[in-house]
Amino acid sequence: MAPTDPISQFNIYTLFSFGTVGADENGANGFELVFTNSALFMVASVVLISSYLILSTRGRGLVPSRVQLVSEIMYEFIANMVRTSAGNEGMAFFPLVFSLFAFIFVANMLGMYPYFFAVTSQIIITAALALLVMGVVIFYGVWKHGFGFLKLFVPSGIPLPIMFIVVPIEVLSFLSRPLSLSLRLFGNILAGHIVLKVFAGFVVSLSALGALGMVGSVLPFVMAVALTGLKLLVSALQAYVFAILTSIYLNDAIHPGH
Amino acid sequence: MTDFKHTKQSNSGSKRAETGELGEKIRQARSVRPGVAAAHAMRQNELTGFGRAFRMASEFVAAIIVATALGFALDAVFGTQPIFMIVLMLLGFAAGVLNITRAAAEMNAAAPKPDPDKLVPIDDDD
Repeated sequence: MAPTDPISQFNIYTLFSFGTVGADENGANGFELVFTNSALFMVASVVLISSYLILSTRGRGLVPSRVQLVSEIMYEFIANMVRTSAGNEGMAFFPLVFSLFAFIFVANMLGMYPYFFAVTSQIIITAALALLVMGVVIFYGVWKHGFGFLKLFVPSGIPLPIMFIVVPIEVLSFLSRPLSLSLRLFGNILAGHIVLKVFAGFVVSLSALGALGMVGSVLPFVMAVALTGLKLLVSALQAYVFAILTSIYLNDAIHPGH
Repeated sequence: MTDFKHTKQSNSGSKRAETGELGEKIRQARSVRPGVAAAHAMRQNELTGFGRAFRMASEFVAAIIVATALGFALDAVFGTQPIFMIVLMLLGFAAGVLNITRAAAEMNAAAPKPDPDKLVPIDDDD
């Protein structure tokens, strides 16, 4: 039986090792490259979404089949979102936004299966995704506008003395974006999985108490069922929120002036 | 979606009546499936109440954490504990409020105009 404590589902363990790099002659201080269960589910997410999109659009029917329709709906959904929040120039970043959305969505949904590992419940994953987004925003903004990108921090039409207060606030607001972007996804998925596991654990420990406990365990069971529904919604929603905030931030890189 | 229908209609002029009939069927089928309309409404609203609350909270907290950490680091570099941390924490509060007002403005802009005839309290939290 699986352990009923709510944290053990986030354990990362090594599946196999690629070997150690950079070790000294004693074999110490090296950096071991390992393939973990987290990596396995990341690979699974990528393989799943890629193969689905490739196979479902293979027919390219004018009247789409059902599987092709799902891919087309996904495409249109993200394309409309990028167009409305970042304009037509933003469509240059459509592959990035779509990949982020698809990866987070599939990883969240895979995490909903019992015994599966929720990749996005690790803050290092969400932080890496958020830093990728902010890196693209800064790189593209500076490359496209040069110093004009700094206009992002200077709201137009304010007197000079106010600048000294407003500009640091704007800079801090910009710096806080990757943190809020990553914390939101991480927090939602982690909290959802812990709460779900806590209620599911109540079912197990209550029904071990005998007949009365089994009757009582109906309550946490109902709660666990309801929470599963809520978690599915949150999983889809957080992928969407991450994607739409990415396109809003990209809009800042494309049009830095307020 | 709409341009697809255009090309379809202009390409096959002889089958226009059939397409129109099929279009009518699709419209009918859509109108009797409330789930589709609800999903569309959710997409328009962008977030559930929970999602909205979490977004606001994380925007606010993130600014304070970043500012305070930055202040702490600057203090450690210049040896001026705790001046930078205090000043930046206050600025972080301001940045957090700015983040929240921005997020609220985005949500307001994204939300559809309410129909005055259908203004009823929405209980989507519980």
